[in-house]
This record gives sequence, structure tokens and C-alpha cells, in this order.
Amino acid sequence: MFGVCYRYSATREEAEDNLQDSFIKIFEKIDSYGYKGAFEGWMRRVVVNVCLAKFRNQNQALAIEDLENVEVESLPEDKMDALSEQELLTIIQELPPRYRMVFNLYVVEEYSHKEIATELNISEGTSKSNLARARMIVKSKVNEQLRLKGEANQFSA
Amino acid sequence: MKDDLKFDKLMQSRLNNLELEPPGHIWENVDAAVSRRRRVVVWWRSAGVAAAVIVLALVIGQLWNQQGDISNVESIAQVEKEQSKEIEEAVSSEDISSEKEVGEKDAVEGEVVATDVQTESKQILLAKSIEAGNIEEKDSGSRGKVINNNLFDEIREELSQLMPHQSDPMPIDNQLLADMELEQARKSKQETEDFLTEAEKIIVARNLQFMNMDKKVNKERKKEKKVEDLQPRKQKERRTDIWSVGVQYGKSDPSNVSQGGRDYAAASYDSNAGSRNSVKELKVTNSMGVSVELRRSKRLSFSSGIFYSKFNQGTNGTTVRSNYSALFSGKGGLNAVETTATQWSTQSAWGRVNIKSPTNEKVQSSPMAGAPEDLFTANISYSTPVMDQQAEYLELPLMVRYRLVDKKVAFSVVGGMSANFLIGNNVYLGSGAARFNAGSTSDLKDISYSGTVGFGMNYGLFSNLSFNIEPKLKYFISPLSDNPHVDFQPWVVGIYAGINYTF
Repeated sequence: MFGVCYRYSATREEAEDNLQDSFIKIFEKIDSYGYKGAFEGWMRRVVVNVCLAKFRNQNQALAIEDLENVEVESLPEDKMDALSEQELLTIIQELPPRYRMVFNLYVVEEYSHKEIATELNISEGTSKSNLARARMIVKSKVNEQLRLKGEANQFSA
Repeated sequence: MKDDLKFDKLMQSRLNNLELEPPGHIWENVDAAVSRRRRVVVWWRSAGVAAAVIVLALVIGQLWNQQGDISNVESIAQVEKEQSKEIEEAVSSEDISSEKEVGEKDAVEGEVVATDVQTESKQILLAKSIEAGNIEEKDSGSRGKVINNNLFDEIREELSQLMPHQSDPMPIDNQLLADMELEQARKSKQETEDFLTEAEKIIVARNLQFMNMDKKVNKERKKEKKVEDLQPRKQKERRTDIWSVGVQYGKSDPSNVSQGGRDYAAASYDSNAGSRNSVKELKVTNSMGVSVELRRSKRLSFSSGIFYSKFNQGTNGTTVRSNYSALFSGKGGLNAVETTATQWSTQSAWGRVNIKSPTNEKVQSSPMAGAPEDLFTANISYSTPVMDQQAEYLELPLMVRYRLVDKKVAFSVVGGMSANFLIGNNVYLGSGAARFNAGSTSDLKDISYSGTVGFGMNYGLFSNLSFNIEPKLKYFISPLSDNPHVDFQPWVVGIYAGINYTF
């Protein structure tokens, strides 16, 4: 669960706080677990909800970065293995908060844009836009990392 | 778009199952937070349970008190109703049995019944007030006036029924009721604005009036109670303020002869007979008398009376002599003379004894040498074997008695002072047929004083008659004799027994 918290947090300290709050929440709400589905999945949902709640409390006023000029390069799938999970997490963490939230919810948690819009109190269009922009940033940073490792220009958007 | 899907799948596969080991302090923080929250939860739950229990107890207690108040009112009214009924029955039965006491007891019992009925009526009215108040709460609005009027009518009817033997059973202030009704009409428009309805105000006013009446009744009751308290006290005082009379007979044993009495008596010496006055033991004849006792309280009483007692002092070998020169006229020779002297005396343990006429005794005389034939001085004396002195006294005592035990067998201590009046003073010479009253003891005082202490036991034979026996010690504070050579202050120990009759 710490990995989940890591993806939704900008820093390790924030991830630790989220993990702590998540487990406290789990202990508090463990009676509400209805033995429907995997317990791990229930715990994951609790952790995600805690991260979402914290995001809603802390990042509502944050401005969206202007990513109009972000250059999106192609990203070859077979070269992704060159990057470790830690490096990918770092790239995710470096996303702007809302992009990071939309990217994680949509790509990893498989939320729909409608659900994301409800959770983050934004419109579906904003969610789609934020997701698109988050992808471009992630691809860009992956290419950058690959380039630094001598694999540059091998991925295209 | 297709690349985006591939990219998303790739990222999901790499990140979805990513596991990272969290730092250890996270679990410590979680454990501490969870424990703290659990304690807080437990505390709040406990506090909540305690608060709920307290609130529940208060609610139950309040409901219980309300039920208790109503039931108490009903039970008190019932009890007082029964008591008044019993009193009325008692009064009626006493009416039949004793016509003389009817007047007094009717007055007393009638007041009791009246006060009880008043209390009962107040309880019932209070219950009605509560009932009416409940009705008012349920049916507030236009029905208020109707209920008020009905309530007044009910109150008047209840009072008239509960106090049939009084023309004005309870001092209802009609003016107050009229004023309140006018006030009610005037404020009828503001009825809904007031916190209390007019009916409730009237009920409150009525209750206040009853409370004031209750105070008056209580004051009257207290006065009556004071009078009642005083009456039994007077009766009790009368019961303890008891007069009794009694007769008492005592056997006494006096102390020895007075100090100096023997020597003073022995000074009477007859040189011819060679005898001296020899004093015998002092004797006291049995005393008797009547007593009057006033019992002032349960334990304290005062008594007085009249008691007669007599002292006897015997003297053997008494020498009686004339203490002056007597003139004899010689007839028939010098040795045959007749005395004409009438003043003779001797000395006793009580003092000087004057002998009136020793005519029955032979007078021995011896002429004085060189005296004229028809005139000589003789030291004349004669002896008699027995002299009996008697002193009779009438004792007027003032005694105080304190009862230690006041039961059928009562024990008491008694003490007091007595004035002893000398009523008889006689000296007898001789014995048997030759005994004659020869004179008196001249040194005895007419009045002397004594003190008495003793212990008494009283046994109630009947309701008014009791038997008593009292050992007492009497000591003469002042000497019985004026003679300076003797100190006649006898101790007298006696046991007295008698019967007392109590009025």
C-alpha cells in the first residue's frame, strides 16, 4: 500500500503520511468491510480515498501548469523496461498534483472520467484533458530518462 | 489513441502491483494513533453510557416522584378520611356513654374533626388542581373558561360537602375570587400570550389561599396543642402535688449519758449514808406521731407533723439535801425534830433537780454545837434509792424527702430539722408504792433543735395506702440542758414504721 500512496504523493514524506492515515482509517472502518471481494482491494480503495481526500483539501487552489509547449515524443513500449519502477514512480510524483491524481486514477486504478470528475469535483472534460496532458508529461520524462541512458529518440508519441 | 492505451497498460502493469516497504515508524505511529483513538473511543463510549444511565435514572426518579406525589396525596387523603371517621365514631360513642362530658369533648373533638376535614379537603382540592392542570394542558384554548367555572363550582361544592357542620366551612375570600374572575375576563385576550393560563393562575391563587389557610390552621393547631400540652402538665402537676397523711411509731435507742452528767450527778453525796448519785443509762420511750406530706414532684416531697417522745433518766442512791440552813423548833428533845423546810435539791445528769416535798423521808439532823436552844443550823439531807427523771417533748419537724426509686416499692432519703418543745418535766423519787412525783429538772430548756437524716422504704399496699419503714438518726443540735456542767446533746437512732394515706 505504500506504493499506492507513493504514486499519489509528491514526496516520500507525504506518502508516509498518507499511508499512516490510510491504515488508521482501515482500523477505524474495518467493521465496514463486508467480506465482499478481496480484502486487499478494499484496503486499496481506502488508501486511494484517503489520498483523494487529502488532495481535495490541499490542492484545490493549485493552478494547472501551462503545458501547451510541452513536446511529446513517441514512447517505444519495448524500451520501458529500461526504467525501474522507482524511476517511473519518480516521474509520476513529479506530475502536477491534479495530473498525477487523474493519471493514477485513470491509468492504474481504471477509474472512468466520470468517476474521476466526481471524485475530484471537476468535469469529465477537464479529467480527459488532465489525463492527456499527464500522459504527455510522463512520456516526455520517460524519453528524457531513456535518452540519459543512451536510448534517446527511440520513443515517439 | 492506440498508443495511449498501450502506454496506459504498460504503466499500469509496471505500477499497479508495485510494492514498497514502508518505514518502521509508520507502524508505530499507526499503533499509537489507533490506541489513542481507541482510548478516546472507550472514554467517550463510557461517558456516553454513564450519561445515559444518569439521564435514565433521573427520568425514572422524576416519574417515580410524580407517581409517589399523586399516590401520597391519595393515601394521605384516605388515611385522614379514615382518621376523621374514627374520631367521629369515637365522639358519637362517647356521646352515648357520658352526657356530662359531651360539651367539653364535643368542642375538642369537633375542632379535631374540622381540622382533619380541612386537611382532607385541601388534599382533594390539590388533587383536583393537578387533574385540572393536566386537563388544561391537554385542552388549552377556549375550553379554559368553562373548566375554570366548573372548577370553582367543584371547589365550592366540595367544601360544602366536606364541612356540613359549619355554616362557612372554609374562610373563602369571595372578594378575591370575584377580583380574579374580573381579572381573568380582562386578560382573556392575552390568554394565549401568558405563560400560565388564567385557569392555572386561579388554581395557583387558590392553592396559595389554601396554603395561607393552612398556616392559620397550623397556628390554631399549635395554640390548641399548647393548651393541650399545658393541661396535661397541670394535671400531671396535680398528680404529683400529692397530699398524704400518716401515722408513725418509732423505737429509739439513745446514745449514752450526756458528757459531764455522771460527774455532775455524783457530786451529790450523803456523808451519813455514804452514797453518791449514780446515773443509769439514758432511755427514750417509744415515739409516735402523725405526719403530713406534700409531694411536689415525682421525686421531691416535703413533710411535717407532730411527734411525741419522752426521755427517761434513772439515778440510783440519790441524795437529796437542803442547801440552806433550816430553822427547827425543838420538840421532844434535840434529836426529835420535824423539818419545815420545803426546798430540797439534788444533782443529775441533766442538771439540777428541784425536790418539792420530801415529806415521806426521815430527816436526819444534828444540832450545831454552841447553838441557841431554839435555833440551830442543820445540814439536812436524805437518801432515796431511785430517782427517775422524765422529759417529754413535742417535735415539729420539717423534712425533705427525695425518692430514689418511685415504684411500688419506693426508696427515698429523708432529712430535715425539728423544733422540740419541752412539754413534760417530772422527777419521781422512790419505787413501787412509795414512788411519788418529787419535782422537776430545773435546767432543761423549754425548746431545743435537732436534725434528722434517714432512709425510707415505702411499699404500696393499695392505690392510696402504703406502708413505710424508716431508720433515722436524730441529733440535738442545741443542748437540752442549760446547765454548764453537763453537755446533754443525745444522738437518737430509731426505726420508725407507719402507714400513709394518699389523697
